[in-house]
Amino acid sequence: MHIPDGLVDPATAVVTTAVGAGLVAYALKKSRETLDDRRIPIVGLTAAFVFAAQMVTFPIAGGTSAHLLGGAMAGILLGPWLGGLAMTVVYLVQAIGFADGGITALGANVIAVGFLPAVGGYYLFRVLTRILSATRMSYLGSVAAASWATTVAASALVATFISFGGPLPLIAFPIMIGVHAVVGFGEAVISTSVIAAILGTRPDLIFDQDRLPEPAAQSSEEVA
Amino acid sequence: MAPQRSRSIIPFVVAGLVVSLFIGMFIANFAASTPDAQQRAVIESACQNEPDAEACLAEQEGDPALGIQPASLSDYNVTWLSGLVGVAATFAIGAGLVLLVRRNPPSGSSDRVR
Repeated sequence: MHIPDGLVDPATAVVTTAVGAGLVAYALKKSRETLDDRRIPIVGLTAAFVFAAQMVTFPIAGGTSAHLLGGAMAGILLGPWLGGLAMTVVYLVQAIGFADGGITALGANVIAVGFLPAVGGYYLFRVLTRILSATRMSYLGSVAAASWATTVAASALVATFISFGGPLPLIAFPIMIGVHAVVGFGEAVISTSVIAAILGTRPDLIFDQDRLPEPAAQSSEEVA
Repeated sequence: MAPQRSRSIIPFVVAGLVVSLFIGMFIANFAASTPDAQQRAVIESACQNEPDAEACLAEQEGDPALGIQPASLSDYNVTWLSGLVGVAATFAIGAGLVLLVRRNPPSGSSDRVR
């Protein structure tokens, strides 16, 4: 899900580019406060993994395919702002190096499929893990729910940009959301698998150490 | 399973990059070539009021004006080289960007240097 050139009108392109640049600046400022050296290669790795995963489009019903968005996963792993920055790097490289997603639509993509899922997914995950019990099951369930919800929310914002701020008729709106309600399940499965793998091997690398399910939380306390 | 706090992250990063390269260079070649979900929505909405929806759909799927590649190409031509270059570039730019941020810590910062 990328907005190509020509699907956002000039006014939308200008506004979304400005807002996108503002988000990147804010994210850089916020990241500075929390960044420790170990995060540096992990941010690069997350961007690289999301890039690779976005190349793999898998077929869903009706002659349509979908690929991982990865925003919620990045937000949960890196924190909301570093997660948003990692997604921005992915869209920058795709737009400039691979003509995937237009340059004029870069701002809109950074907002809708970058920061919205990374920041929104992170905070939804925080809320869910606070409400639910601190078990591995509810932890991974929260990852899955955040992944699904942000995929649908991102599709709604993309639909807003291309129908209100672009040439598409409003009918694109329900189609986008409907299709992505299905795509979101794939997103949830992949994101949850990745976070589960990291939880099993290096839980100390996940951003929110206070939200880890109980066994993992204990073992990281032991060695803290 | 008792991870040590000071454990090196290098094995994790190397393993992650190997997985990413494997996905980008190998698995991506088996990617579905049908339009993605957003392209599908664009195509369908463009054909909503057409008398011959089938013909419209077929035509739109190859319409470069809508940014939709012909059906044989999905997002871009996937080759092992795209995977290699893309993974390397995103890793370098991602890590480089935060490295720049890290090199200029705000004054009074108590960031620890491991």
